[in-house]
Amino acid sequence: MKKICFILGTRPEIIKLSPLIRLCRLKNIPYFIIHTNQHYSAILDKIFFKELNLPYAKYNLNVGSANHGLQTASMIIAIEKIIIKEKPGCIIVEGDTNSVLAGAMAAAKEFNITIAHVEAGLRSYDRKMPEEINRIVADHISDILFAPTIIQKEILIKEGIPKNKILVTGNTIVDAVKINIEISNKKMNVLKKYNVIEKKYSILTLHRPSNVDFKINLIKIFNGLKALEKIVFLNKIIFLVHPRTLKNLNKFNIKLPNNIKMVNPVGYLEMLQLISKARLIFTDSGGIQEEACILKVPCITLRNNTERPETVKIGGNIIAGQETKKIISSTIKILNRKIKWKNPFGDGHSSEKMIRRIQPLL
Amino acid sequence: MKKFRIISLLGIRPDLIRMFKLINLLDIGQSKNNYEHLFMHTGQHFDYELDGIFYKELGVRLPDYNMEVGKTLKKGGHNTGFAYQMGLLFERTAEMVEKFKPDAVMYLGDTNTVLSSVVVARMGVPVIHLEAGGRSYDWRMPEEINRITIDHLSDVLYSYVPRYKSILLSEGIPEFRIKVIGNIIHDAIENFIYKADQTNILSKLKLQSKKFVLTTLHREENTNSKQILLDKFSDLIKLANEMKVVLPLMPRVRNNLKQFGILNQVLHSNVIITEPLGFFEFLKLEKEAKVIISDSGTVQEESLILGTPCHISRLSTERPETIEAGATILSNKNLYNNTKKALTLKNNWNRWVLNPTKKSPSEVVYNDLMEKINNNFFKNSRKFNYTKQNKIMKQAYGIFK
Repeated sequence: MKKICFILGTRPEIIKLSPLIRLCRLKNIPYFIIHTNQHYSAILDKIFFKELNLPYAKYNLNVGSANHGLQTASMIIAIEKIIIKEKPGCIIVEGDTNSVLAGAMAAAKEFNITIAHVEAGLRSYDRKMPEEINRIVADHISDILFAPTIIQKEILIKEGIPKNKILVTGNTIVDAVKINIEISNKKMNVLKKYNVIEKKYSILTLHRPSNVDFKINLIKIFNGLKALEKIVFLNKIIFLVHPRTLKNLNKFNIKLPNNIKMVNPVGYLEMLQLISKARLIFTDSGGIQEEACILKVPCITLRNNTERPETVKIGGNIIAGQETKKIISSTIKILNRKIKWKNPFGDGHSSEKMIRRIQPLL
Repeated sequence: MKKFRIISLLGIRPDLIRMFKLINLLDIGQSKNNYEHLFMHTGQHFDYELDGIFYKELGVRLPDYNMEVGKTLKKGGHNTGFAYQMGLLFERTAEMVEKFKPDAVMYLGDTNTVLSSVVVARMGVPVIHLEAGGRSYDWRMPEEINRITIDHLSDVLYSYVPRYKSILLSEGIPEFRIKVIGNIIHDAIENFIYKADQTNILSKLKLQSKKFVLTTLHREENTNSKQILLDKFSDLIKLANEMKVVLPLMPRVRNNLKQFGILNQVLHSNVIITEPLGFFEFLKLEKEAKVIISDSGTVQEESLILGTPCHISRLSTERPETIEAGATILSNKNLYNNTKKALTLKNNWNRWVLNPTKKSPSEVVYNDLMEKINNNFFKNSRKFNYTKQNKIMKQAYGIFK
């Protein structure tokens, strides 16, 4: 049997591929992992692998964060070398990062390797986002597309991709969240650590350049959150500060309102538990929108668009952008809703469906 | 005000032939309109010095910038495989975009060079693609991936014929990005046929007009296996018993013949083996041949325009128009019989099938580009339009607020 090759480069990819990797280990399917270390934290990621109880990557590419032309270039070359050596039967990539693009590109002209794209068919229709380009290219190069929901399948079909390449599986994030929240609850207690009461605190994360690189946007967001303290008693917002955001806060000399408490970014397991016990989430991250939805916590997205419209459709998420007024009105709106949505991302058995599709090809 | 800067980025010689008129139009137009045109080359292949002569022959100036991808790989003694080529191409393209800060980059065709549009698009620069919408639906062809990739990234897509446009529409590409222009090869042939007529290739090879077969086979599907090569060439010998066969051989094909030990079997008093020919000489032979055997898409188009029947020895084609017009016989088997069949084609087919409007495709593109530049099309093309996105999302996802 030929091997499966997992190519991953960032934390979200590790998380979302983790159920598949665990399943391969469980079913004794030969596999290996290529870690591109796109976010230049090989050592930190080693801890992360351990935390999630995952085997380490067999290959670490250490490409670092150069300009993305150069970064993708060195990834493609390195990945091809490994492919030639290991001769995998299938390459699995996930999401929309440069690692996905490089993995798909490196294997694109090897006709005996199946390229499978996990989380295919996502579109924000915002071409200014480099990730959108990565998504489009990866989807059109891949041989098997695992669409999280029927919506993504329809998008792909509309783009002319043959139906027989697409399989709706649900999102592996559900599989991952289900397992990982259990691990987390056993390991730690965040309520104690942050001295908060369950469902009486909120969470804020900001890292997208469109938010944190503009002083005006940061100020508008903080003004909204400040006002919310009086309106809906948001008196404790835990702000997990991304290094880029911190740098800009200092650069712009912005003072945070009293109801926002800045803390260092936390590990994945801790974050998961923090989300699960929060009253409300404010974020510009795509992954957190999903996790909040799965853990049944309302979410306000501080962006103008989303690749996760399902979360909006079922009522668990509102796209508020950066305008103060909109943030306030959206928050009031979502807090008035009852939390009774059904998880739109699948039943937590996505990884099994995927492996079942891939196994005969190995 | 900063001038709009458009870059034409080419990679291989046939691209240059097709683009020569548009490049010249864009160069000349700079004095009348408010834009700058830069002309660049990725140097995907190594035939760099050869190219110098080639530009002169075509009457195109030398590029403003050459990424020298092929040359660098060869000099550095690197593997010249796909990954290295792609790697270097991505790296150099990113450097180029940073250095020249273009407002749009224009590509043509389906070579590996067009894959660098991925980098361009990711850096937020609009992409223009000429020859958009060509599909062979043959996934073993590396070019198919290139075509699909660039088409889905492009901001403006110029399609040759309406069928290409409908392919793009069926793949969900919005109509406002697509324009049908006619096949740009028309401009090349119209302009260069006089030069071709001036060559002495017929007398050099001792050929008479309409009394010989012209053959070019270079695709891997035709030349990489001994059995297939043997099949093709024994049929060619059979043809040579009836008339002269001109056979320009690419070095790779010649090597394969040698390697498989069948080069001797091709020797026949009526088979004229030559080195690869210059563009003008080849064009002249295409015009004067009685019938052409080829696996090249370009030759398929050129033979239709020049009025020479053609047998395309391939499994699939991106250009079914030439078959429908009655100018081409497509088959990857039985070269002899299919060539005979091609000889029975009546050459009164419509030679404008590839360009029904009979306008110069380069001029159509040029005028359209000017209009788009003046209307700020490119500025708005990547601007995030909230209402529009909502509309698209609504279409895609049904009602949601």
